[in-house]
Amino acid sequence: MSYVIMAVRNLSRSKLRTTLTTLGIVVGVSLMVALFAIGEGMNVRMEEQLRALGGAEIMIYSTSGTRGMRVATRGNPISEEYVETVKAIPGVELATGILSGSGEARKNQTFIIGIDPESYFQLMGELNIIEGRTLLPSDLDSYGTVIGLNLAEELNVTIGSNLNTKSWGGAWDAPWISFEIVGICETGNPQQDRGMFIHLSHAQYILTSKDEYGAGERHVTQILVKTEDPSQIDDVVKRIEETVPDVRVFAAKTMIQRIQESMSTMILFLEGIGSIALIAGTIGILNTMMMSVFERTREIGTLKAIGAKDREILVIILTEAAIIGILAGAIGCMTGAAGTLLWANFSRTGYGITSIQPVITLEILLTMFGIGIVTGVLAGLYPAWRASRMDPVEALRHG
Amino acid sequence: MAEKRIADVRRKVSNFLDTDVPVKTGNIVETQNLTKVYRMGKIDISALTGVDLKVPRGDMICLYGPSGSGKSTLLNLIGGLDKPTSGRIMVDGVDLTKLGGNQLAEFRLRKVGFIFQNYNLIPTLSALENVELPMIFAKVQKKERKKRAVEMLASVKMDDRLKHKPDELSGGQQQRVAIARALVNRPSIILADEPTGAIDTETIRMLMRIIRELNSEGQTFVIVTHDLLVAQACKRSIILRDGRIERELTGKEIAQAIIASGRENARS
Repeated sequence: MSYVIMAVRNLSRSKLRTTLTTLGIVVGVSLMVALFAIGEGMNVRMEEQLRALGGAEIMIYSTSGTRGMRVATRGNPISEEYVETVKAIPGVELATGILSGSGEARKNQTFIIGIDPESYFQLMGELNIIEGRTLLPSDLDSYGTVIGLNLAEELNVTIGSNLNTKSWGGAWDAPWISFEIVGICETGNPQQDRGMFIHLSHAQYILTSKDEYGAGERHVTQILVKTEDPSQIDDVVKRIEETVPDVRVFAAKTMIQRIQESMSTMILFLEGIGSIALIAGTIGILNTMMMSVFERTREIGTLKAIGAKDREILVIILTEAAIIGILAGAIGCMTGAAGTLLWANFSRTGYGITSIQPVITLEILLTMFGIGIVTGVLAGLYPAWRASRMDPVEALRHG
Repeated sequence: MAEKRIADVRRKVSNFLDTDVPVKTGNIVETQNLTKVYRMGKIDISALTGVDLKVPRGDMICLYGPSGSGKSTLLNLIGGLDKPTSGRIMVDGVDLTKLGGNQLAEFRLRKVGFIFQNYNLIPTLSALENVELPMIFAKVQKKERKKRAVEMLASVKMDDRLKHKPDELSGGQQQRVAIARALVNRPSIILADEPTGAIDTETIRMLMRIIRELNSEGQTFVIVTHDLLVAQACKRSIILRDGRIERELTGKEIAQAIIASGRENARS
């Protein structure tokens, strides 16, 4: 028999109360696990988006029709001519225009990325092709497309399959093209992995034509720029702003800074919510331990009479609190992880905030398990101290 | 032989308490002018006034008196549960007035065994575990602990109920477990506060037989009671009244009082 066995026996004396007390911390810990997992997911998403920037040091969007990094199909795109204008600006090494937007392939939503293969791959680097080949200039005439792995799996298509594609939500007579899949890629960017890389002019036909006889507007939604000298980026940005009308110009590094700022605010907010839940749970344990110490006043008096020192009483009560903490930490980690995985399962096909895939790391679980234990012990400190300081004569006289 | 044992005990005491070994006496308890005053709001209540008590080693003494006479206060002071307002208490050569909280706990652990009116067993622990408890605090090895606990329970004839929880035992059985718990660290003195308060006459006789047996083996007892049957079973009875020792009761007085109260003779 040890203090641990004594503590377990005491806790099982009123199982319901112990369960409810534990539940308080369980809620706090599982909430924190979920929140941290989402925060981690946001980090991963940011890294993906940064990776998606590739070699692009400057991004040019139109003043309307775009929102952050997501590009709407409608709005006020940039004329393709400006790609050449930007290329001619001093300090610009490479520039490529992209037209992207929601498309529909075999009734499924997809993300159309219209590119000029030569300049795009030169600037962004090659796609990670896992099957077939990359998009070539010759695909302009043969209507080839490279699609993302997830889309390929969703549609159950492979190299050589044809994909009838039009704009998402387009009318029955909306312009469409039957593409032949020439390659399947996996870039790690969820939008691209559910997307189709096609030639810019194909994208222009699908996304900007008024009807199926239209030729499509020669528009792009963004222009990516690589500079000759990265230390001159700010000057180049200024020059672009002066030369090209109605556009917003971002340096990648400022964008990264901004994302990181909003991300850390978000994570701070999430941590705040979790802490409040944990504090509530801590008060729950504190309350229960105070009550259970009070109820056992005479027992504590007895322990003192038969020779227990203050420190030993303290350890006995703290052991109980620690066991609650260990239980709550373990259960909280499990329910938190389970709930998070469930969320991840539902959010796989979502967009926007719900598309963030929570990421549970061992570090999160260990941290939260530790916090569960620490919470238990902290909440037990005061009741344990009170118990250890009881006057034995008074305590023995108690009810 | 006895001299040697006393010397041994004394050495041990001075080792763990790190106090001077005082002049050797034959008394296990010796109080001088012991006074205890409780403060209730603005009023001082005198629980004990100038008590001088000597309990020789191997004695079995009864503190008899009405409630409020200070007998429990005296017992708590001897047991190191409480500290006197003034005066001196020597128990087994240790001056209790000089000890701090943790030293008093150590003193209770090694030197004193307590028996309570309500038995005060820990309800979540079995009989065996309750008896093991003082040895856990005394850091006795697990194997030795179990062996001694079984021995002690056998000496109070409770070795057939080792795994029973207190609520599965009768009052008399619980008190026997409590006696085993009080004995298990081999204390110099056992202090019992109304040990028979909640037990029927037949069981009182059985318990007092056990206590007398232990006393005949040399164990010193101080028993607080207002039960004449208990007083009769003791070697000496001292009457306390209003916080003072009034006098010693004779066996004849006790017997007469028992007959007057209509109860049977406890020694029969």
